[in-house]
Amino acid sequence: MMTHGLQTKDANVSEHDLLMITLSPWNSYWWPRPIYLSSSIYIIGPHRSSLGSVVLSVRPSRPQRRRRRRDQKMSSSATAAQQLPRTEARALSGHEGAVLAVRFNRDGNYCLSCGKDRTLRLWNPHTGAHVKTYKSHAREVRDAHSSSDNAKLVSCGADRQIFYWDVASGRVIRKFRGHNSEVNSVKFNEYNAVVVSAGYDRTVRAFDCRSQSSDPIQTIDSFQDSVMSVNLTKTEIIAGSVDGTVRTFDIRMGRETVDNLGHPVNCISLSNDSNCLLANCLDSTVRLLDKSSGELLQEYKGHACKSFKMDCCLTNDDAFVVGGSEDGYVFFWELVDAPVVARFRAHSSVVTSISYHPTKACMLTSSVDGSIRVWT
Amino acid sequence: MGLDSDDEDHVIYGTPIEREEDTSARKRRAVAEAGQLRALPTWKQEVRDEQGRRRFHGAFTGGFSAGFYNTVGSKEGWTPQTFTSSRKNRAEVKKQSISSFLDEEDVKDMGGSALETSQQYDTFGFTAAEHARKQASKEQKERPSAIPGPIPDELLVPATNSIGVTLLMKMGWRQGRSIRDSHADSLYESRRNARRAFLAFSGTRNGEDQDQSSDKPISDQAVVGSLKEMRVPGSTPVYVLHPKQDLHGLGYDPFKHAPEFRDRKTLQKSRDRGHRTNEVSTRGDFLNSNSGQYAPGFGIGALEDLDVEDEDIYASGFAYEQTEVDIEASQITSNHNYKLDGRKRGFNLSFKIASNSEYKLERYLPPEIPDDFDARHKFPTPIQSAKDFSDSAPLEVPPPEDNSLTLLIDGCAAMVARCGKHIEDFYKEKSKTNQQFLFLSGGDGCKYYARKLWENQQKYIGLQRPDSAKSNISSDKLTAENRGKILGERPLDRITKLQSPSLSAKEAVQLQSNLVDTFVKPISLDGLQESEKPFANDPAKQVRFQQFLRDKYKGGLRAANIAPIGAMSEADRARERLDFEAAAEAIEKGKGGNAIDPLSVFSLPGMNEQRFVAATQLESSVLPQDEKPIYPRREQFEWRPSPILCKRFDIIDPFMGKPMPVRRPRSKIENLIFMTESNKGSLVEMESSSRHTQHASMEGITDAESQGTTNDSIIELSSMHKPVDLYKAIFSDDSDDDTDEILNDQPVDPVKTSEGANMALNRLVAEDFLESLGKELGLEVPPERPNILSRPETLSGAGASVSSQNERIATAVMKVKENQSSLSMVKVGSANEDALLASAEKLDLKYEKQENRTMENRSPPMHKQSWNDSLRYDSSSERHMSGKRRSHTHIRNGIPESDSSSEHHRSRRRKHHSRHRKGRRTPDTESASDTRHERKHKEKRHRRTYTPETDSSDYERKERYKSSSRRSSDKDRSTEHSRRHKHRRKDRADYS
Repeated sequence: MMTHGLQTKDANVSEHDLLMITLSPWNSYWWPRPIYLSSSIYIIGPHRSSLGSVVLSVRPSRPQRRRRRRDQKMSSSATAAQQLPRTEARALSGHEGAVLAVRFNRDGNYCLSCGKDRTLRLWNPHTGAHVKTYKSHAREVRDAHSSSDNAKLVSCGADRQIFYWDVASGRVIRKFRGHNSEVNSVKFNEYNAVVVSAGYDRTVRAFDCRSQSSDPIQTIDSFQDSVMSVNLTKTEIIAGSVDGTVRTFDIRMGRETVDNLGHPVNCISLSNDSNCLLANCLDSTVRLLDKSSGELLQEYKGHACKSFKMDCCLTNDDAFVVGGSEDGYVFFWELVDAPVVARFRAHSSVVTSISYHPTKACMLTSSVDGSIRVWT
Repeated sequence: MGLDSDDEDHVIYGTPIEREEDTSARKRRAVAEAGQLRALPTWKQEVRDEQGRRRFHGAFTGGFSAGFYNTVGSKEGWTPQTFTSSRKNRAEVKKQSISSFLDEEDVKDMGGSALETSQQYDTFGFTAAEHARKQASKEQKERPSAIPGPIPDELLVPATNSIGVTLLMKMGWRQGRSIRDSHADSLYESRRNARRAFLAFSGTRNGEDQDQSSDKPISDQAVVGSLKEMRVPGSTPVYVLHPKQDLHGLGYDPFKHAPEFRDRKTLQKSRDRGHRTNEVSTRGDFLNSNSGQYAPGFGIGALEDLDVEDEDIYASGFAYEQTEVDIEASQITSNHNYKLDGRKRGFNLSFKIASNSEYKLERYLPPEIPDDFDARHKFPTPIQSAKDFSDSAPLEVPPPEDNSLTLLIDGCAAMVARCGKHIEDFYKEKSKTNQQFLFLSGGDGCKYYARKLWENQQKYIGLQRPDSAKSNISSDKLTAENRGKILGERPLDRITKLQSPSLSAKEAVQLQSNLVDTFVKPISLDGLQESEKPFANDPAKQVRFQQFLRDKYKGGLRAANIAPIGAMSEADRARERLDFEAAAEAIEKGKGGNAIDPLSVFSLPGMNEQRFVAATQLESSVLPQDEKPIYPRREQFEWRPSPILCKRFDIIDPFMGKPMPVRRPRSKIENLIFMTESNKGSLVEMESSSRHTQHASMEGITDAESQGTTNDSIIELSSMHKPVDLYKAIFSDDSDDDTDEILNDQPVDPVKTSEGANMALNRLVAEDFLESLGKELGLEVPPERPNILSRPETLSGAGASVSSQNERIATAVMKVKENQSSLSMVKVGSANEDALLASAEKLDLKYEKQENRTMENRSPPMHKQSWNDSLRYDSSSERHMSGKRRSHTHIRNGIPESDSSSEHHRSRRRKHHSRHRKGRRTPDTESASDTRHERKHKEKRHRRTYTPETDSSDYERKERYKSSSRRSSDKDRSTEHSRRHKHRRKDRADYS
């Protein structure tokens, strides 16, 4: 038997006698059985302090592992479910009429809301302070997004305009034109250089923030119906449309991937690891898709979503799916097995938008009744 | 003086309108002349500006002379200036004033007076008041008065009045008075008042009644006299009437703390009233519709319309209607409203409501229900459905011996069958004791009765609803194999089931007749034997023929319109149809003679397929509907992000370096005017290469180049030929592919054939179009596929020369053919022009050593060619130009501009010219004839610019170009030429 450089302090043999682990004061050695006589295959260490004993833990078999993981998840999800934001911290009031979208900024310290009163408002949801109101839209404002450096805002609305705002001064820096009808959704890209918008005119348009031009640098018009929602990753433009498709435009590959879901897609949101797509469909189902394969991973049901544009999103740890309902309820589904973990009445009417804090257990909901509520 | 006195009688109101005497005489002259000018022929008309000045003087009388004569229109002219980048020093935010929008003339018109807002139309005097207020405050600031603080508004009077007020003032109205005819009304009013007062006065003094009459006139006079002193009444204050219509206490306002409900309440009221009195108050409805559907809290701008977008789509969830507070008790509204309303109406229309009305609502007690009443409705026993007895047919039984009984049973059965089961029950009950009716309850003749009854019922039902019964049977009972069995079909192999026993012979007969109804004339179709297939040698046609027969005789259920057969032209289809008709007729006749035995028909193999072909087709059409598409479905396409997008996303453009996809031409017309890229390219190639070879042969160097010469003549031929190819070139988007295909002799795949069909259709359309165009221009249109070699020269104009040329071309072609065979480079399977064109292209490419036929690759050598040309031929500067022009159009590929087409036109002509030269370049040419021809062609060219094109082979094309480029003039082109030359070179540099 081979020896360590120093003395052997403890040894253990694996279940099927295939491995033996021995301990020297600072290293643990893994020995395969045929070579009990030869050399170690792994030397783990050196450890800081000298080791005392070694115990081989048996690695569980695959189903065992899965079960255990699920159990873990269940238990963790049970505990996590208790931590879901369900108590109303405060309501942000100020909007007259329906609030159509509410969005946290990148770090979650502020939020933007917009609605039928044609204003865009900046809040501090943690204190409830109303920071600023941005007025310029001529009709309802449908979506807004703030740049990652918090210096610029972009908003779009039924007036077919996309406004590019300066946060501090509250002035419109640029108006992006090109959409022929209402603009449903708008997003900044990673570097805040491009604004991508989706409109009722069945197009997705990309605008360049760096040039003076207000015309789109790219128009994607392969959609068959109104495009409801657009989302961006570092290399992709993902848009969901009423024609029942989620289209992923991979700029790096130069490919358009069409995932036909068969039902009008209301809202698209991405998991935090950007591997999954969450699509809120108008058949009262939220669908989770694998982005790379297009496989349907899970369906979440129970809420009512038949005629309004309503948001859905994942919690910041990707453990739960959050979605609003037309009856004012907010639903939480467990990501993997899709049971309704929690539901509570958040508003008296349609929950139009939900935004989840990027790091904390905090959530914003907005509703047609004109209220924005902060849940912790 | 009389005049003066007349003047005194006139009263003048208002300000007289100024006559426009002082408008410039020049302007008027211009207006007057405009009409005359338009009547003049075009070349005599002059362009004048609105001041009547002549600004364009023509090339020989001074040229363009707006402002700075014969310059670029600015004082500096072409004086070079140092370039200042607007990027570095951005334009400062300029304060724009009115003057920056006015030009000199406008300023002159203003006559030095500054523009300012007029207060003349300040209708309500707001602006003026504001102005005055400002002025006052300013004044006060300047010299503070004893009273500190701002001056109260009442003290400030607007400086000017609006035009309306001014008018009223002029008409005698003063501030604070009512606007009405003071003379008529006030006089009458005051007189009446005075009279009344007088009467009252006289009434108190009863004793002096007698004096009254005598006093009256005097008093009247006094009244009139006093009128002078009487004050004209001030403007009457307007009281808004709020009739009290509710039942609240006086002064109680239920909406005091909830004013937002007030509008709703009034609206509701007006709506109610509208309903009750059947008068629709439009205003109420309008507001109502607004407030109901549009988002609460804000309106829309004055300049915007209410839109679908403004609809409050969330309103349904809002439940505003439910939250409304019902202030009045419903009892009151239901009962008392009538009275209230009535009172209101009574008040308005001066009717009074009767204190006790005669009308009373008559009331009746509810009917008494007998105790034994069963609240369930008993339906008469329904006539048994055909199904019930169809499957339980009683056995046929011989009638009983007793004749009278038989008759009775027959009658009874008929009765029961007609009237239903309850009659039988009735009979049974009535004649329990009667011996004769024992058959009803299972006595003698019971079975016979049952049978008879069944028969009768069958008959009756058959009569009453034959369709439904039949359909019932056929739809419920009939499976495919059953039907097959009934019809005596040979069962298919997979069918092992025996005929279901439930099918009686009767049904079978019924079914047969049913089927005969549905499937018309199957025999005529089924009789199609192998020997009778008229198109046996062409299976596709045979299939179509059968299809046709099926359609014609409707033998079998089938969809009415099957997709038309692809690669066939309309004419072909029609011809084929005629053939089919004839063939079908022949078959019919043959059958009539044969008198086919139906049984033999049945036994025909393959009949099943023919007869029930439709069924399978229907199935196939139904199938895709049934199977649900599986979601989510993933598809992938190529998508091209714009380079700038990639840049902004910080991603390397995946399509970097690849050419932008050619934009598909938007319409056929565009296509027609601007030829397809490939076609253009090939033409250019041809010419450039031909020129090259000219050059080469003149130098006389290598064999390869002499081969090129021969090839050139092929090219000539191919470029000279047939409108058909032109159409193809124009109308097919992928002519390159097509030529490739022909080149390689590849098997034609189905997709291509459908494209081919489309192409053929397009070709037909194009032919029609060009033909009509030609007719419009008064030209003879050649037949569909003219052959150069055989076509006689018919056209006038340059007839003689053309014919001679063509002869020469013909000889060239002959030579070419020889060469082809010797060189074996060209596949000449037939006299197919496509093949020729394709091969020509191929050779061309070979010659130019180019694999790729993209535009970019093509243009540089061409350029070289043109340069060579210019070096070589002093006389061919024109051609040089044409070549260059063409290359220019390539560089701006696909940009729809009129002059590009004109260039084509031109290039076409030039090419034609060169072609003639080529024709001459056969070995037996001489230099003398060369020059002669040169001259001739020059002449011809000159003529061509003004006379219709006469060349037979080319002229449709030319017509087309002409029509498209009629706007551009030759002169322009020649002047442009030199500049374009320079530019093009630069362009090319950029491009490569």
